[in-house]
Amino acid sequence: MARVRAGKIQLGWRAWGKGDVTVVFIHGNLASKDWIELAAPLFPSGVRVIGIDWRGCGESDRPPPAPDFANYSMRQHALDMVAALDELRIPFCHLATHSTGGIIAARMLLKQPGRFGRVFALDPVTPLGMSFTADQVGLFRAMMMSREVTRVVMATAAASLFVPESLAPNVMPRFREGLGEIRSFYERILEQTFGVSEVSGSERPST
Amino acid sequence: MKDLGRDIITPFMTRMTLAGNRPILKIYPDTGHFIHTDNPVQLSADVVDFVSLGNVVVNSPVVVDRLVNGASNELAFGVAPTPPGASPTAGLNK
Repeated sequence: MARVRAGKIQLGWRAWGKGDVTVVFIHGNLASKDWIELAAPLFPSGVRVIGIDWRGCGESDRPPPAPDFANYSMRQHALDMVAALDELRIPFCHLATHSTGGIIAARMLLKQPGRFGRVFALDPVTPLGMSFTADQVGLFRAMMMSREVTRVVMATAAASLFVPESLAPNVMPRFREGLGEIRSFYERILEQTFGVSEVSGSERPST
Repeated sequence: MKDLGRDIITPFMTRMTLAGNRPILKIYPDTGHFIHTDNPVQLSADVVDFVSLGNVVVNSPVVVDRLVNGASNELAFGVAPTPPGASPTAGLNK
Protein backbone atom coordinates (compact mmCIF):
# COMPACT_ATOMS: atom_id res chain seq x y z
CA MET A 1 0.00 0.00 0.00
CA ALA A 2 1.63 3.25 -1.16
CA ARG A 3 0.90 6.40 0.77
CA VAL A 4 1.96 9.98 0.28
CA ARG A 5 2.10 12.80 2.81
CA ALA A 6 -0.31 15.70 2.42
CA GLY A 7 0.21 18.11 5.27
CA LYS A 8 -0.38 16.25 8.51
CA ILE A 9 -2.01 13.19 7.01
CA GLN A 10 -1.17 10.37 4.59
CA LEU A 11 -3.13 9.66 1.41
CA GLY A 12 -3.28 6.35 -0.44
CA TRP A 13 -2.11 6.44 -4.03
CA ARG A 14 -1.40 4.14 -6.96
CA ALA A 15 0.30 4.46 -10.33
CA TRP A 16 -0.24 2.63 -13.60
CA GLY A 17 2.14 2.80 -16.57
CA LYS A 18 5.19 4.94 -17.19
CA GLY A 19 5.85 7.93 -19.38
CA ASP A 20 6.33 11.63 -19.73
CA VAL A 21 2.60 12.37 -19.81
CA THR A 22 0.96 12.19 -16.38
CA VAL A 23 -2.80 11.95 -15.88
CA VAL A 24 -4.00 12.23 -12.28
CA PHE A 25 -7.38 10.67 -11.50
CA ILE A 26 -9.51 12.53 -8.96
CA HIS A 27 -12.25 10.15 -7.85
CA GLY A 28 -15.75 11.08 -6.72
CA ASN A 29 -17.63 11.00 -3.45
CA LEU A 30 -17.83 7.65 -1.63
CA ALA A 31 -15.22 6.29 -4.03
CA SER A 32 -11.47 5.70 -4.23
CA LYS A 33 -8.48 5.80 -6.55
CA ASP A 34 -9.17 2.18 -7.43
CA TRP A 35 -12.22 3.11 -9.47
CA ILE A 36 -9.96 3.91 -12.45
CA GLU A 37 -8.47 0.40 -12.18
CA LEU A 38 -10.36 -1.02 -15.16
CA ALA A 39 -9.39 1.79 -17.52
CA ALA A 40 -5.87 2.62 -16.34
CA PRO A 41 -4.16 -0.51 -17.74
CA LEU A 42 -5.64 0.33 -21.15
CA PHE A 43 -3.78 3.61 -21.44
CA PRO A 44 -0.93 3.39 -23.96
CA SER A 45 2.75 3.39 -23.10
CA GLY A 46 4.04 6.86 -22.50
CA VAL A 47 1.14 7.74 -20.24
CA ARG A 48 1.40 7.43 -16.49
CA VAL A 49 -1.89 7.34 -14.59
CA ILE A 50 -1.90 8.23 -10.90
CA GLY A 51 -4.86 7.86 -8.57
CA ILE A 52 -4.95 9.49 -5.14
CA ASP A 53 -7.50 8.74 -2.42
CA TRP A 54 -9.32 11.61 -0.80
CA ARG A 55 -8.81 11.83 2.95
CA GLY A 56 -11.38 9.54 4.53
CA CYS A 57 -11.52 7.31 1.46
CA GLY A 58 -9.69 4.21 0.27
CA GLU A 59 -6.35 3.80 2.01
CA SER A 60 -6.03 7.39 3.21
CA ASP A 61 -6.01 8.51 6.81
CA ARG A 62 -9.40 9.27 8.32
CA PRO A 63 -8.96 12.18 10.71
CA PRO A 64 -11.96 12.67 12.97
CA PRO A 65 -14.36 15.13 11.34
CA ALA A 66 -14.72 18.59 12.79
CA PRO A 67 -18.26 19.40 13.97
CA ASP A 68 -18.89 21.34 10.76
CA PHE A 69 -16.87 18.88 8.60
CA ALA A 70 -14.55 21.77 7.63
CA ASN A 71 -11.62 19.36 7.52
CA TYR A 72 -13.50 17.35 4.86
CA SER A 73 -14.50 20.32 2.67
CA MET A 74 -13.91 20.42 -1.07
CA ARG A 75 -11.33 23.14 -0.39
CA GLN A 76 -9.49 20.80 1.98
CA HIS A 77 -9.57 17.92 -0.50
CA ALA A 78 -8.09 20.22 -3.17
CA LEU A 79 -5.33 21.34 -0.79
CA ASP A 80 -4.62 17.67 -0.02
CA MET A 81 -4.33 16.81 -3.71
CA VAL A 82 -1.97 19.68 -4.45
CA ALA A 83 0.15 18.78 -1.42
CA ALA A 84 0.28 15.16 -2.59
CA LEU A 85 1.40 16.23 -6.07
CA ASP A 86 4.16 18.30 -4.45
CA GLU A 87 5.28 15.30 -2.44
CA LEU A 88 5.17 13.04 -5.49
CA ARG A 89 7.19 15.65 -7.40
CA ILE A 90 4.67 16.12 -10.17
CA PRO A 91 5.11 19.69 -11.39
CA PHE A 92 2.64 19.39 -14.28
CA CYS A 93 -0.13 16.96 -15.13
CA HIS A 94 -3.51 16.54 -16.73
CA LEU A 95 -6.57 15.67 -14.69
CA ALA A 96 -9.25 13.02 -15.22
CA THR A 97 -12.09 13.43 -12.77
CA HIS A 98 -15.31 11.67 -11.90
CA SER A 99 -18.41 13.18 -10.33
CA THR A 100 -17.57 15.29 -7.25
CA GLY A 101 -13.92 15.03 -8.20
CA GLY A 102 -14.77 17.74 -10.73
CA ILE A 103 -15.30 20.25 -7.93
CA ILE A 104 -11.95 19.38 -6.40
CA ALA A 105 -10.27 19.75 -9.80
CA ALA A 106 -11.88 23.18 -10.28
CA ARG A 107 -10.42 24.30 -6.97
CA MET A 108 -7.01 22.88 -7.89
CA LEU A 109 -7.14 24.83 -11.16
CA LEU A 110 -8.07 28.04 -9.39
CA LYS A 111 -5.23 27.55 -6.94
CA GLN A 112 -2.52 26.65 -9.46
CA PRO A 113 -3.79 27.26 -13.01
CA GLY A 114 -0.40 26.79 -14.63
CA ARG A 115 0.15 23.37 -13.10
CA PHE A 116 -2.56 21.55 -14.98
CA GLY A 117 -3.09 20.92 -18.66
CA ARG A 118 -6.38 19.48 -19.77
CA VAL A 119 -9.22 18.41 -17.51
CA PHE A 120 -11.35 15.44 -18.56
CA ALA A 121 -14.43 15.41 -16.36
CA LEU A 122 -16.69 12.35 -16.25
CA ASP A 123 -20.27 13.20 -15.32
CA PRO A 124 -19.02 16.06 -13.14
CA VAL A 125 -20.80 17.85 -10.36
CA THR A 126 -20.94 21.58 -10.98
CA PRO A 127 -18.41 23.66 -9.03
CA LEU A 128 -21.43 25.28 -7.39
CA GLY A 129 -22.07 21.95 -5.69
CA MET A 130 -25.28 20.04 -5.22
CA SER A 131 -28.05 20.29 -2.71
CA PHE A 132 -29.81 17.15 -1.54
CA THR A 133 -33.38 16.72 -0.45
CA ALA A 134 -34.20 15.17 2.90
CA ASP A 135 -35.06 11.93 1.10
CA GLN A 136 -31.70 11.89 -0.66
CA VAL A 137 -29.84 12.53 2.59
CA GLY A 138 -31.88 9.73 4.10
CA LEU A 139 -30.71 7.42 1.36
CA PHE A 140 -27.08 8.19 2.15
CA ARG A 141 -27.79 7.53 5.82
CA ALA A 142 -29.33 4.21 4.90
CA MET A 143 -26.23 3.34 2.85
CA MET A 144 -24.08 4.00 5.91
CA MET A 145 -26.03 1.48 7.91
CA SER A 146 -26.55 -1.32 5.41
CA ARG A 147 -24.32 -3.10 2.91
CA GLU A 148 -27.42 -4.26 1.09
CA VAL A 149 -28.68 -0.73 0.56
CA THR A 150 -25.22 0.35 -0.56
CA ARG A 151 -25.18 -2.50 -3.07
CA VAL A 152 -28.57 -1.62 -4.48
CA VAL A 153 -27.83 2.09 -4.82
CA MET A 154 -24.41 1.53 -6.36
CA ALA A 155 -25.79 -0.95 -8.87
CA THR A 156 -27.99 1.73 -10.40
CA ALA A 157 -24.86 3.61 -11.44
CA ALA A 158 -23.06 0.60 -12.94
CA ALA A 159 -25.95 -1.09 -14.65
CA SER A 160 -23.85 -2.91 -17.23
CA LEU A 161 -22.49 -5.23 -14.51
CA PHE A 162 -25.87 -6.58 -13.48
CA VAL A 163 -28.68 -8.68 -14.86
CA PRO A 164 -31.12 -6.01 -16.10
CA GLU A 165 -34.17 -7.64 -14.52
CA SER A 166 -32.42 -7.66 -11.14
CA LEU A 167 -32.26 -3.85 -11.17
CA ALA A 168 -36.01 -3.60 -10.72
CA PRO A 169 -37.38 -2.16 -7.46
CA ASN A 170 -37.27 -4.43 -4.39
CA VAL A 171 -34.88 -6.89 -6.05
CA MET A 172 -31.27 -7.47 -5.01
CA PRO A 173 -29.01 -6.81 -8.03
CA ARG A 174 -27.34 -9.93 -9.47
CA PHE A 175 -24.09 -9.89 -11.40
CA ARG A 176 -24.16 -10.82 -15.05
CA GLU A 177 -22.31 -13.87 -16.31
CA GLY A 178 -18.86 -13.45 -17.78
CA LEU A 179 -17.57 -10.64 -15.61
CA GLY A 180 -14.53 -12.60 -14.42
CA GLU A 181 -12.23 -10.61 -12.15
CA ILE A 182 -14.40 -7.52 -12.57
CA ARG A 183 -16.83 -9.03 -10.10
CA SER A 184 -14.25 -9.14 -7.31
CA PHE A 185 -13.12 -5.66 -8.30
CA TYR A 186 -16.65 -4.39 -7.88
CA GLU A 187 -17.06 -6.14 -4.54
CA ARG A 188 -13.89 -4.40 -3.37
CA ILE A 189 -15.03 -0.91 -4.36
CA LEU A 190 -18.42 -1.66 -2.87
CA GLU A 191 -16.76 -2.46 0.46
CA GLN A 192 -14.69 0.71 0.20
CA THR A 193 -17.84 2.74 -0.35
CA PHE A 194 -19.52 1.18 2.64
CA GLY A 195 -16.43 2.04 4.68
CA VAL A 196 -16.64 5.76 3.84
CA SER A 197 -18.70 7.00 6.72
CA GLU A 198 -18.52 8.92 9.93
CA VAL A 199 -20.36 5.99 11.46
CA SER A 200 -17.82 3.72 13.12
CA GLY A 201 -18.04 -0.02 12.77
CA SER A 202 -19.15 -0.46 16.35
CA GLU A 203 -22.12 1.84 15.76
CA ARG A 204 -23.41 -0.13 12.80
CA PRO A 205 -25.88 -2.90 13.17
CA SER A 206 -24.32 -6.28 12.46
CA THR A 207 -25.30 -7.68 9.07
CA MET B 1 -33.28 18.39 -26.88
CA LYS B 2 -36.98 18.61 -27.72
CA ASP B 3 -37.38 21.56 -25.33
CA LEU B 4 -34.53 24.04 -25.66
CA GLY B 5 -36.04 26.13 -22.88
CA ARG B 6 -34.79 23.49 -20.43
CA ASP B 7 -31.31 23.22 -21.95
CA ILE B 8 -28.66 24.24 -19.43
CA ILE B 9 -25.72 22.82 -21.35
CA THR B 10 -25.71 25.03 -24.44
CA PRO B 11 -25.68 28.35 -22.52
CA PHE B 12 -22.79 27.08 -20.38
CA MET B 13 -20.82 26.00 -23.42
CA THR B 14 -21.48 29.34 -25.15
CA ARG B 15 -20.26 31.32 -22.17
CA MET B 16 -17.15 29.18 -21.76
CA THR B 17 -16.37 29.50 -25.46
CA LEU B 18 -16.76 33.27 -25.32
CA ALA B 19 -14.39 33.24 -22.35
CA GLY B 20 -11.77 31.56 -24.54
CA ASN B 21 -11.97 28.05 -23.12
CA ARG B 22 -14.23 26.00 -25.37
CA PRO B 23 -15.48 22.92 -23.54
CA ILE B 24 -16.12 19.65 -25.32
CA LEU B 25 -19.21 17.71 -24.34
CA LYS B 26 -19.45 14.00 -25.06
CA ILE B 27 -22.43 11.76 -24.47
CA TYR B 28 -21.65 8.14 -23.55
CA PRO B 29 -24.72 6.21 -24.66
CA ASP B 30 -26.03 3.39 -22.49
CA THR B 31 -23.78 4.07 -19.55
CA GLY B 32 -24.65 5.06 -16.02
CA HIS B 33 -22.87 7.42 -13.65
CA PHE B 34 -19.92 5.03 -13.50
CA ILE B 35 -18.85 5.61 -17.09
CA HIS B 36 -15.34 4.40 -16.33
CA THR B 37 -16.78 1.09 -15.16
CA ASP B 38 -19.39 0.77 -17.90
CA ASN B 39 -17.04 1.64 -20.75
CA PRO B 40 -13.37 1.76 -19.65
CA VAL B 41 -12.13 1.10 -23.19
CA GLN B 42 -13.71 4.23 -24.66
CA LEU B 43 -12.77 6.25 -21.60
CA SER B 44 -9.06 5.49 -21.82
CA ALA B 45 -9.05 6.22 -25.56
CA ASP B 46 -10.85 9.52 -25.04
CA VAL B 47 -8.59 10.68 -22.23
CA VAL B 48 -5.52 10.02 -24.36
CA ASP B 49 -7.05 11.80 -27.37
CA PHE B 50 -8.05 14.74 -25.21
CA VAL B 51 -4.68 15.04 -23.53
CA SER B 52 -2.62 14.60 -26.66
CA LEU B 53 -4.81 16.18 -29.33
CA GLY B 54 -7.10 18.45 -27.38
CA ASN B 55 -10.16 16.82 -28.88
CA VAL B 56 -12.33 13.71 -28.76
CA VAL B 57 -14.81 12.24 -31.19
CA VAL B 58 -18.21 13.24 -29.90
CA ASN B 59 -20.59 12.44 -32.72
CA SER B 60 -22.00 9.10 -33.75
CA PRO B 61 -25.44 8.00 -34.93
CA VAL B 62 -26.29 6.51 -31.54
CA VAL B 63 -25.25 9.70 -29.73
CA VAL B 64 -27.46 11.83 -31.96
CA ASP B 65 -30.33 9.42 -31.38
CA ARG B 66 -29.92 9.60 -27.58
CA LEU B 67 -29.68 13.40 -27.69
CA VAL B 68 -32.95 13.67 -29.57
CA ASN B 69 -34.93 10.78 -28.13
CA GLY B 70 -33.31 10.23 -24.75
CA ALA B 71 -32.47 6.88 -23.19
CA SER B 72 -34.37 3.91 -24.47
CA ASN B 73 -36.52 1.90 -22.08
CA GLU B 74 -35.78 -1.09 -24.22
CA LEU B 75 -32.09 -0.76 -23.41
CA ALA B 76 -32.72 -0.51 -19.69
CA PHE B 77 -34.20 -3.98 -19.64
CA GLY B 78 -32.46 -5.51 -22.63
CA VAL B 79 -29.57 -7.90 -22.39
CA ALA B 80 -26.27 -6.13 -22.85
CA PRO B 81 -23.89 -8.19 -25.02
CA THR B 82 -20.65 -9.53 -23.61
CA PRO B 83 -17.60 -9.12 -25.86
CA PRO B 84 -16.23 -12.53 -26.90
CA GLY B 85 -12.88 -13.81 -25.73
CA ALA B 86 -10.63 -13.06 -22.80
CA SER B 87 -10.46 -9.36 -22.11
CA PRO B 88 -9.84 -7.23 -19.05
CA THR B 89 -13.10 -5.48 -19.76
CA ALA B 90 -15.23 -8.41 -20.85
CA GLY B 91 -18.81 -7.96 -19.82
CA LEU B 92 -18.57 -4.22 -19.29
CA ASN B 93 -19.07 -2.77 -22.73
CA LYS B 94 -22.50 -2.58 -24.16
